[in-house]
Amino acid sequence: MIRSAKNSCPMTRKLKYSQLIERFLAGEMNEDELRWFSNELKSNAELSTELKLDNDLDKILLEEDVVEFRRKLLSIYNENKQLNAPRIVRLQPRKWQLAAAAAIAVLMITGGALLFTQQRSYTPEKLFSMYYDSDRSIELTRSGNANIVEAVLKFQQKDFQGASLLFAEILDRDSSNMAVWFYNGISYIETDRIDDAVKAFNYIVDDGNNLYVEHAEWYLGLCYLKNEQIDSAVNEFRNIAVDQNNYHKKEAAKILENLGRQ
Amino acid sequence: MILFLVTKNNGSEEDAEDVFQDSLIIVFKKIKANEFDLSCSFRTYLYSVSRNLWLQKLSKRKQFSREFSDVETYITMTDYALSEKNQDEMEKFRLYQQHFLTLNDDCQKVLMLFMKKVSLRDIAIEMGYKTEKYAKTRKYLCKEELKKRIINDPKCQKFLSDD
Repeated sequence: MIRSAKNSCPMTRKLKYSQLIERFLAGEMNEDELRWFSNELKSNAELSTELKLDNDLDKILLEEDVVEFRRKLLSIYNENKQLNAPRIVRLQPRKWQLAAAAAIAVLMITGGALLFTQQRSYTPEKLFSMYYDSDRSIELTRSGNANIVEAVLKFQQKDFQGASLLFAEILDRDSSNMAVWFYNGISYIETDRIDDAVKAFNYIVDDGNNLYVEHAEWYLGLCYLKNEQIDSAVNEFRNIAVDQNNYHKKEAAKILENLGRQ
Repeated sequence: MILFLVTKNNGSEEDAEDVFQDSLIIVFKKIKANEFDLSCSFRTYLYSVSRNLWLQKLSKRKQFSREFSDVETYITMTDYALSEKNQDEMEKFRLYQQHFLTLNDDCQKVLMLFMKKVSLRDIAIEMGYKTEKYAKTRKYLCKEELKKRIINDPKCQKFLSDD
């Protein structure tokens, strides 16, 4: 009757303009930003598609009763599926089945041992490269500030050193822009200035009240990994893993598992 | 009945599930809007809605054959709820809402509360968040997660690239 939505696409597409759209919809843009946004909408098909998706989602969420109706259909469908599931008939095991069970048990034990030794073979550097996503798309508002526009362009062109210099200049004038702190932190990682990245992410975490806190905590953990400051990394990932609402909860738990420090 | 109708006329079991679900939603919306005027048995009505939806789907897929096999009696329907435009919208909303239902309970609740225009302060209290700012962040991240699931679902692509 109803299926849960499944994702079978092998390539992950990314959203580029979420924060811009969020600020636009929340009415948080100033006049310059609004002007830029309206112009950009006319020529930027990706931005326009993302905004349309946002508006569509608002519409579907307004249909609360329909969503609840679908939820009921889904639950009825799942109940029926369970009722119609084939029953397991228990038979007396034969000799070959016992042998197979023993073989599986041996495989599980040796496999478990292998897994255990493999967990130990994750070096901090390896874990860092497994989990660090260098392909972050930038979501800064080009608020008419020439430096920001230039910095964004440099970041997009992967000129992280150039971007970082401009981000630092912007932060000298206005240190309250957490987005700039965040992307400056990423630029520092990309240019192997891990200690500076740690400072940038700590600044965001200490501020507390901004959209970047969870991501900053995550990258802070990764920076500690990169610096081989394992205890600091473990502390960071433990905090993330126990926070039910944290966006990176599962990945943090996986890293702790790989480090053998659950 | 609907499974039989769809599978007998070039469709799969999955198509039948979608048609059945969309038909039930149409009936549900009509009842809610006091537009549900039953002049035949409910079975015939539901069959007729499903039949219309499936015929349109076939025509869109250019799979319509002259030998359409009916498995029940049906009534003629012409209203907007069954129009092609509305059907596209229904399909889109079905997929998006199905993705919404795959989000964790916390995310579903935050997004719903936000849409109901509940204040950030009240959302924070209801959800046990420390600050209003955090409620806003959660809402943003949950919506972001929902959008990611949708843009990475191949079935949703046509709604993201059209118009």
